[in-house]
Amino acid sequence: MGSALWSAVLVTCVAGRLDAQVGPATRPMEEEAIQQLLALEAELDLARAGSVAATYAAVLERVEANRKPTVLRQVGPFEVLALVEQGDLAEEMFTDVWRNDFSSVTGSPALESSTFAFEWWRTAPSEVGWTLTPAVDGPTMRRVEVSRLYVPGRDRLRSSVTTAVWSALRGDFPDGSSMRDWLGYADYLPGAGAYRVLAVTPSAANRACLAGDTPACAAALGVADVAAQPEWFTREEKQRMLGVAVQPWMGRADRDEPDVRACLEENVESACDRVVGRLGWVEMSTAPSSVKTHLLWYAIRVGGDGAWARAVERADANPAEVLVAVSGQPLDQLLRGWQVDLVRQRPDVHAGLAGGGLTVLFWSLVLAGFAMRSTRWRSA
Amino acid sequence: MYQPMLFVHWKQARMLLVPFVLAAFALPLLVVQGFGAGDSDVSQEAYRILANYQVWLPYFPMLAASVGAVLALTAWNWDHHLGHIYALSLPVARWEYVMLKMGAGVALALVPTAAMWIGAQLASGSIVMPEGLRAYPNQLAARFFLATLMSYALFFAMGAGTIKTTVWIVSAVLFFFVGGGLIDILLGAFDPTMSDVNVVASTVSWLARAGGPFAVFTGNWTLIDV
Repeated sequence: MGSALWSAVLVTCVAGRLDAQVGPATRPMEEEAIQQLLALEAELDLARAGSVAATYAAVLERVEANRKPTVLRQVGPFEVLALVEQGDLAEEMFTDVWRNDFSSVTGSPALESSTFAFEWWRTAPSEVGWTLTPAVDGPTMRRVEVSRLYVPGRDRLRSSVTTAVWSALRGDFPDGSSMRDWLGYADYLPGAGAYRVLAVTPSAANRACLAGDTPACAAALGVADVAAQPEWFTREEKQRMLGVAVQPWMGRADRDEPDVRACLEENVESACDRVVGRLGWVEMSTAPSSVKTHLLWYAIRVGGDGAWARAVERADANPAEVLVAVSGQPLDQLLRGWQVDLVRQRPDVHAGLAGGGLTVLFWSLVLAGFAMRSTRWRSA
Repeated sequence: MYQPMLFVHWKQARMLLVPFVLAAFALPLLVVQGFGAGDSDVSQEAYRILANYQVWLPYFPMLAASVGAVLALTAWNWDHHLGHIYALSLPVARWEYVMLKMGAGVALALVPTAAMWIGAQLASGSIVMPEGLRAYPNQLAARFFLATLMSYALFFAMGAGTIKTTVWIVSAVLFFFVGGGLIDILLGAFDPTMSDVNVVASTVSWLARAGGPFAVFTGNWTLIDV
């Protein structure tokens, strides 16, 4: 497409110049020039294709040269592919994540058909996936390939594994379903992380939710009528909610409707209230997606056996209905329990300070030892 | 013996410490400047406070490192001037002298720490905290003290040596950081399984990780957090 465009421009320029210089009498020359240019373009395209093919061949060659033996392990309902030397580590990490975070999941087609390619590089990902790539092509293959440079410890590695498993699980909610739209694409966060993002996200509804106001939690999470408590939301927030709802792929509001236009184009807040109030639930709530994910998993934990299957069955229903069906509790009770659980997991932001004191003491004594052995003293 | 050592060190360091004490007091107050007046949008407040804090965050460990360096260099100042005669004239063992001197510096580190603690207390008391956020003045002052101690110990050890030794150490460190790539290549040539090892990055990571000497600098320096 690009080369064709260039050719057209070139041809036009050349033709124009020829016209200007020699006039219509030289038409055969002009056509000859055009033919030459087109031939040249074809040659260039061939050369480019050859270059791409050569690069690809070089990559494959490199992949083959770097290929290392792999091992496939079964963890819960899915498989994990890893280098032989990292097989035990991979199995340990995925088993830990599966047991502690997702073992309540039964009947997940997405997870059952998933294979996770795991690799923990010792350095920067300069040769991403060279070792596992040949074996990992396919729609159900999910990569957990991370560098120790950025993911140095097992805690961070575990977090990467958790995110990968959650990403696979999310596939149980079909694209375009209410639950998929409501959850968004956020990572799975532990309680402390969810608390943090909720606390720092600018929103009065989030603040009120943290303070223990359950209706505010429902509004912040987008599972209730956000227009019922207008003081929690600014006009801009309502416009953002509506802005997502009118997108063609959402189709939850008509952009040409007078109230929608008044809200989005003329900044009429009462119009925003009317339209957003009709939506019932919103995708673009003030609570980030990771907080909504946390609520879903809290509901699944409360719901017990078959909770995940119940969620998947109702993927197209209103998220509030899904949460009620999953947890077996009224929404109000579920949100109250979740809020208490979330606040209990408030992160200890200065954790490790006491341990840090001992570390400083240790290193200070080591350095004091060096000071006692200084060359100046020995020479004195 | 400790008291005279402390007094001598105090005499050497006090004028140099003044700007650092003022900075330690003022820094937390500067961080919260303009917040919590009650006239701003409460929904934005938490975000604004944390976002604003990020701008000031690097100054806290930098200030601690500077205070430690000043205290350490002033600790050895008069020894270097007098050719270490004073130390030899004292009826104490070498290790005891070093520990007394180090102890004096640790006590002096409490002065800027106290200034920071007072500043942090005033700063956190001066704003109305949005729901979900808390102030941590005690923890901030404690971290500042620990970081100052770490910096002090490092520069104290370097200051105890001759200039030649210090130059050697600094040069070796610089060479390590600049020539780290060369070390990686040599390791890779020696043992192919080591070809993907990044020595400099691994060392920096180890030094700054929990248990490493500089972990206290890379920890959480927030006065206001969730």
